[in-house]
Amino acid sequence: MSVITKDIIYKYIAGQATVIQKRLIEEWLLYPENQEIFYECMEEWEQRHPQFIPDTEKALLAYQKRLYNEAEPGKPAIALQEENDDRPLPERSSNRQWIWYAAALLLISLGAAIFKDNILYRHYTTAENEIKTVLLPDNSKVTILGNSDLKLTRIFNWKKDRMVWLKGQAIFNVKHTRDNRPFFVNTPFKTQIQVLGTEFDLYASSDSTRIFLNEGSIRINMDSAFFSPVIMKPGDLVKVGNNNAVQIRNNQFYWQFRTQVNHTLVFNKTPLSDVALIMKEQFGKTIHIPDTALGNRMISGSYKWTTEKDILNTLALMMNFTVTYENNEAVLK
Amino acid sequence: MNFSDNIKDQSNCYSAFSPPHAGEPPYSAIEIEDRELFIKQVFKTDPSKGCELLFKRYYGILCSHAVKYVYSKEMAEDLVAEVFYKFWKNKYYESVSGSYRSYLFKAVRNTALNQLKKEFGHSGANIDDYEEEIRNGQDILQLLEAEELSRLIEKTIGELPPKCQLVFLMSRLDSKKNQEIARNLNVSLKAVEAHISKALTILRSVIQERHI
Repeated sequence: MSVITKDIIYKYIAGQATVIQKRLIEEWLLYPENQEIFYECMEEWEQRHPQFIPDTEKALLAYQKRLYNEAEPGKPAIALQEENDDRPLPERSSNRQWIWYAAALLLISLGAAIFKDNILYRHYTTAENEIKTVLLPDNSKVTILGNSDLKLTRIFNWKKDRMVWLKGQAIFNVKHTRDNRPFFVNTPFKTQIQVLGTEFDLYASSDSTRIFLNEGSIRINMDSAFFSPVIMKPGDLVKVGNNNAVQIRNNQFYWQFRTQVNHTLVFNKTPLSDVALIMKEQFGKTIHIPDTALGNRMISGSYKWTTEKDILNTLALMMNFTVTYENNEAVLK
Repeated sequence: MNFSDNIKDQSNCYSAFSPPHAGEPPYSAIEIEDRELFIKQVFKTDPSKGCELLFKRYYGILCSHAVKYVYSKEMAEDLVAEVFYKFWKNKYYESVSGSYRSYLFKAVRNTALNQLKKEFGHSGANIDDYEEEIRNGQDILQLLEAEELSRLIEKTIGELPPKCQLVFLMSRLDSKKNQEIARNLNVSLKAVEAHISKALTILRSVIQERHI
């Protein structure tokens, strides 16, 4: 009597079984319980001899995004594959959805041609060291920091969605409405913040977005094919950068830039290397820390400042390092 | 011969053993565990999560499997993603009798074959959704035929003249644009198109010969 072993099954899968062995397997497969074994061997074989290795993470996100898009009412659904459909596969980008986007684009460009930005929107702009606090019609408060621009629609239809655009940095204090109306902040880089009522800091530059949530909850909608929305809890910090990385860290290492309002920086176990980055962003000064051990040392506390040199000098005294300036850059040793 | 020695009576073990009958089917002493116990539990309370777990676990190998039929990485990925999509959307997970794994393999194979039928088969070929095929119990026959077919395709592509094979793989497998291929190989665009056309013709005739 002949025996089927895993070896023979592997050979079969690899296309290397003899005619006799093939015949054996084919008979053996007629029994359903043997099929399970066959597929186990198939799984093992495929694992050991992959033809190619796709990016499962990326595909999973696309899958999730597809399901998510359909869960939203009012959004155009991706063309479903009906059973017995003549086309077994959808095109790479679903036809129907493209039409919607194209139509939307057309409408938007028409709209832009008709109305100039200044007529339709109201801007609150700050200069380099200016700080403005704006009270919105729904009683939400936005404190706009230096070099930033907040845009609202003039014609206030805030009965429906509350929507603003931010370029730069601001601290938001959004009022929760009785009817749970969401509040949207659009940023130049790939993200849209959706909140109900909450306090958060937003840093929206042209090539990255950073959000720190103080209170309440936020949903971040990403405008990229492969990201599902991110829900933030208080204390979360989310960074969206150029390589599409969304990182969430809890607030242990976050510095609160909200206190810039009082010209104070607050650090909470912030490594010196992070401080250097913050200073670069705020003051435009590059700081080098050649010694990684020094860069990893953490500081906590609040520091008042009028110029960035203040902070560096204070830190230097406290942490026992020296600051030298070469070519307009600071070097800490 | 006493077969009962080899039967392990565990509920989560598949034991391969064929009862004796005329014609002597092959005997195997292979035992496997049910590695999907956890996922099956998840499906009871959260099928969406269950589908995601299946996706994470099987997407890669299913793509690798599919590409042996359609010979295009892009197509293979689309195809497998579509299978998972339907699996969830049409709740096929509720009617799976064996393992999810075997079901998904069958589904992917069926979808891949449909794709081949669509591209290379006789016009008007009948295309069923994979769920129907599985329900009809056609899947064993299909498995055997499919294995043969994939071997045939492999052989055919292997026997293409080297330049032709290379161009075809770059175009179909890697989804490179014709211009790019022409540039990389330093040949004319026309030559690239001719190679691809030739390969597709050969492939088509070979597949059609098998009447799929």
